[in-house]
Amino acid sequence: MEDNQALQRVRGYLRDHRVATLASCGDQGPWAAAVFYANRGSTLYFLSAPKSRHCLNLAHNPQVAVTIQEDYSDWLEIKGIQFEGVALEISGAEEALARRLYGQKFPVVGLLAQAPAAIVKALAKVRWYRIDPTRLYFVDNSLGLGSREEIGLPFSDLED
Amino acid sequence: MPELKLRILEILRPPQLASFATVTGGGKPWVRYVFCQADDELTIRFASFRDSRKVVQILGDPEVHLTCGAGSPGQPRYLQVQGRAEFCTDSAERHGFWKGSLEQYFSGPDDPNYGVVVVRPYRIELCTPGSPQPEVWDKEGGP
Repeated sequence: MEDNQALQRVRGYLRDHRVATLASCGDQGPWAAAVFYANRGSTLYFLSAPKSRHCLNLAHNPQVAVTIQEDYSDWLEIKGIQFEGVALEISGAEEALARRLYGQKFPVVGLLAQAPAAIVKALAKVRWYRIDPTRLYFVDNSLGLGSREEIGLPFSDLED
Repeated sequence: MPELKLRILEILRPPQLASFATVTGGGKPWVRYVFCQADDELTIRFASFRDSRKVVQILGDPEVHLTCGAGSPGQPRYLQVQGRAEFCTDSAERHGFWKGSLEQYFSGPDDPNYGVVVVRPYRIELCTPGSPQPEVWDKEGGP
């Protein structure tokens, strides 16, 4: 697969999926949590409660690993994104950007005035985070078991 | 059998894709998806190549974590599983776990590249969206 083709597949995959599995490390070992994300280029944004296990871990160790993929019934069908990176809490203008991107992908968050009360209450307690990959792969077992192609970083949403 | 354990087994027993997190030699987290299956004692198993990254990481640090059920359509509940893993190559585990679907990857249960990752959970959280706190199963006697 040519580099540009692989990059296009990664961009499309990030755009078309919504849930990432975020692995972090803490005193009690590794922990994997599913988070809803939005992205701009190779940077992912998500929100979580600061007292959740993964956010407590991130406060002490920002190193993370992430997978994004669907539920497959066969090893040979598995495709998806796998990366390692750094996750940091954000605020100010960057939080505003994250909220905007998130609202575009998840309208219930973007239209707070019309959101159910339970969601408004929950959102008041969350913090916003960004994840910057330091090494990212596109996994495609249909090309051979364990086949994965490294993608150059960072990348934007725009085609080269 | 306690009622919570039964409800955990409902989610854990069917063969499924789960996220499996380990710690690398450099102390960083890593995660990938695995096809796993649990028995009535909540022990989770999946096949692996002997020289895979996950096996190297388990040998360095057996503390692992699985998220089960979170990616299944129509599955409102999911499990957060903390446990200790080992890579087994003894004949009983190889033959006990062997199934026809593995023939795509290994020549048979005695293939030297084939082994079974066995995860023994010591804490499982049953999470239900909308519920503020998970229900927690702890192994008797602790980890």
